Amino acid sequence: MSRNSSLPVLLIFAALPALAQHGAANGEWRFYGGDAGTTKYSALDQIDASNVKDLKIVWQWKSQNFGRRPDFNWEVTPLMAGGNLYFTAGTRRDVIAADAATGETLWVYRLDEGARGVSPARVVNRGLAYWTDGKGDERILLISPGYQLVELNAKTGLPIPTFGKNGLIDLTEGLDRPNVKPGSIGASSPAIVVRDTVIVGAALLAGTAPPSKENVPGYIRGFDVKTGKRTWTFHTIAQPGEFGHETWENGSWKYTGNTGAWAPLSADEELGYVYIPVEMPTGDFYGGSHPGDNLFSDSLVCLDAKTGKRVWHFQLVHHDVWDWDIAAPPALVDITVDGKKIKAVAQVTKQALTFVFDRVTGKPVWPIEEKPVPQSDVPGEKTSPTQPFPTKPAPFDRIGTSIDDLINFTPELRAEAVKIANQFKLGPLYTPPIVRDTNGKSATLLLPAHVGGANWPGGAVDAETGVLYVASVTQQDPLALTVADPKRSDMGYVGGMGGPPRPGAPARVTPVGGDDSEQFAMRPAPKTNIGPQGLPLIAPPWGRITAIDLNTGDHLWMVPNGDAPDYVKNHPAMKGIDLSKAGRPSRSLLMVTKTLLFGGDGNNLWASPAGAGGNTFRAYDKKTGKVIHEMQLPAMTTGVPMTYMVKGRQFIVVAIGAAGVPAELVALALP
Amino acid sequence: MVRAQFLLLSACLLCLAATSVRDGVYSKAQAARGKVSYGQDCAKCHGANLEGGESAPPLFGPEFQTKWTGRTAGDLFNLILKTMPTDDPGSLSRRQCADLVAVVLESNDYPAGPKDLDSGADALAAIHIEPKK
Ligand code: HEC
Repeated sequence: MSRNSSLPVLLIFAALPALAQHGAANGEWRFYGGDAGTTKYSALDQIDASNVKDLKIVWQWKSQNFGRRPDFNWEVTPLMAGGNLYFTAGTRRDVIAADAATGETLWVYRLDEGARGVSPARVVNRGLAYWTDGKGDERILLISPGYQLVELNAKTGLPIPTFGKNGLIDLTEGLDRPNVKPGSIGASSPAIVVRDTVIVGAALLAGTAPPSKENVPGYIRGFDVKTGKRTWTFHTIAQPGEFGHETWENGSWKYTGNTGAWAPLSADEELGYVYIPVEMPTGDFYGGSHPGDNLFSDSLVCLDAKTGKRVWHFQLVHHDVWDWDIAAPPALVDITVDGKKIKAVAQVTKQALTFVFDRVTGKPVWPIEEKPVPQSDVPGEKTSPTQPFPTKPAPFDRIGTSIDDLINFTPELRAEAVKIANQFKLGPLYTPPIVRDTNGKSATLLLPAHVGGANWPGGAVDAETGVLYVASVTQQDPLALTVADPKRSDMGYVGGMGGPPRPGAPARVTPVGGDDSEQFAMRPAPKTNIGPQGLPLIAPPWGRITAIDLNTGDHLWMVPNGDAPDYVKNHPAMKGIDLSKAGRPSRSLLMVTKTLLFGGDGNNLWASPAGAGGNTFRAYDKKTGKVIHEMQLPAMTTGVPMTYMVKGRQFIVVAIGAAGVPAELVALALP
Repeated sequence: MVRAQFLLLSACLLCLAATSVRDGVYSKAQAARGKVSYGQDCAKCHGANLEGGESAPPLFGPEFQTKWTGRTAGDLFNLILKTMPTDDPGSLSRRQCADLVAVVLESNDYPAGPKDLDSGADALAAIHIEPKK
């Protein structure tokens, strides 16, 4: 798009109060992340430092009976428009409209997809998209478990008959594959609407040990919001004649799949641009089947939302063999750097880096250097000689693994930790996975591992000050490759989590039934730590929040997300050790308002030891990170909180749940 | 009636006699049934083909077999019954669990036989897990 043609659009949009980069507008929350820019910022200020201690649960909305079994890990963030909340609920992803003041259910939409929806690529989901013409036509967009795009009338919950086929579009069509097996592709994050285009990403099956190097590609598609007509497709795997095609060597563009965008998407409504965080290609830890840099995998891609044309892109990981998908939504914010105003986009990553760009041009705000990195010695693998490192901001969590990172509570524990760590290959960020048992090492110890650093909760950015708050976990994991059994996979090598227990290594202790194991009946099996005596291997904090001033690129503060989890605190070896600043291996789910930063003890059903989370919901001082108030919720927070104003009252709504506690929404407000 | 009970008893004796997972202790139809509930309740963590996922281990392969060797199908059954799925443990019926054990056995290349794996505790405890031949 040329400058001239974009000018009139800019003027029209400048007249509207709802500017993308200014947070959720008018006390509503119309996008998953508050605004199109996924700031998770609201200018509301009724709840502030002086009264936050009076917050009470004012209603709860229970999801227990939605879906064939209860949902315990509800990653949803509701939308609020016109006094109504809209959200997906339950393992079947039913759509609910509820009264934002009372939580009363107003309508329910349930789609029976039959076999198509039974075993979806992704069970978790994060919510919906909303569109209005501003004249009373309001619509809700759902991506179903079976990967259909559904458009509903926001007032009635009924499908819009003129959209697609009676309100539905089959998203498995148009993916350049003759058959797309049900359940092989879907979405966990909602679509995003930019002006009159709905943009849809994709989430595929996890690729630790994929059955084949051939998979469905996760193309990004645009649809007309009124008719459902597909207006464009962006090939995340560059096709012949397209920019980057040569980065898929040996014809690997033909069969490689994945490379979708499963994190929430962000957009600038004023520019008409959408920002796509693209994931890695097929095979999380082995890329021998697709040599080359693999554009646009692991890239932040800016597209013109109307045409799908690429405006700019930046690849954050070349030829990924670490499962470092771009997992967090890009955060759009206007900043001033050295006196110059910049419309910026900040991308946080699993490897704990923050990449900041001018979102109009794609130019890095601070230089990003290509630096040499360790190389793979796995047969058939060809890693990139360099990887990009931002010169600023500094990493927000530990990166790379060395003996210095290990726990050091007592000399004995340290010695044990060193012994354990020495079984693994250690090294700086981008040390590739090894084949199991190479040179006496069982695996590569990755820090952050693929489930460390930041992830889909990303951060929240204060649209007024330009400060980014990011939540991360300090999570290491051993990763090794094994030769794939040709009966099960044609990948050559597949990934595994560290290899069999070996002498000196702590065995995974899975509670095994027998009649004496009744105590496990209602407790989740813990994912055991690999550190000494079941403790974490890496020194705390195990979870943290970092505030980064995007105007300067400097960190302002870092705080642990609470004290240590009980299983560590109560460990006999921890007697007398101060763990009040140890944090929890779960990401805080952050939301920021004019007055406060809010964060709940995060989601730990997936990546952390069970019980490592907690039920605490906190309000922080934005300037210092000091906890101003904390309260207990009935379970841990599983979705990013949101806030809105209705009938003169500010509400904070957040999804909670835990193993054994079916998911619900809780609404907090002042008495 | 008496006759039927007698038949049942002898069937059970037969299954007690089958003491190894190598002996065809589950049926193909049962594994197929189990695969459906596996897709609904387990795949999101353990992967569509039991290959393991971001935070859950694979349910086949040398590591799995080494770990389970010397234990019984009953141990495996009880683990699933009492701790899986980790986000909703205790929610599966005994029949569902038996079907899921069949899926795990099939994935580990243990042969199928003519009959379903029984979900009774004694029958399960009599089936020993041994390495693949
Ligand atoms: C929410 C994630 C999750 C779901 C869903 C889940 N599991 Fe697991 N499962 C785990 C984790 C984590 C472990 C490892 C526990 C440990 O390391 O102690 C595990 C361990 C196991 C084990 C023991 C593996 C071994 O190496 O000994 C079996 C068997 C198992 N699961 C079966 C199942 C079955 C069958 C289902 C479906 C009914 C299921 N799981 C659903 C997370 C899950």
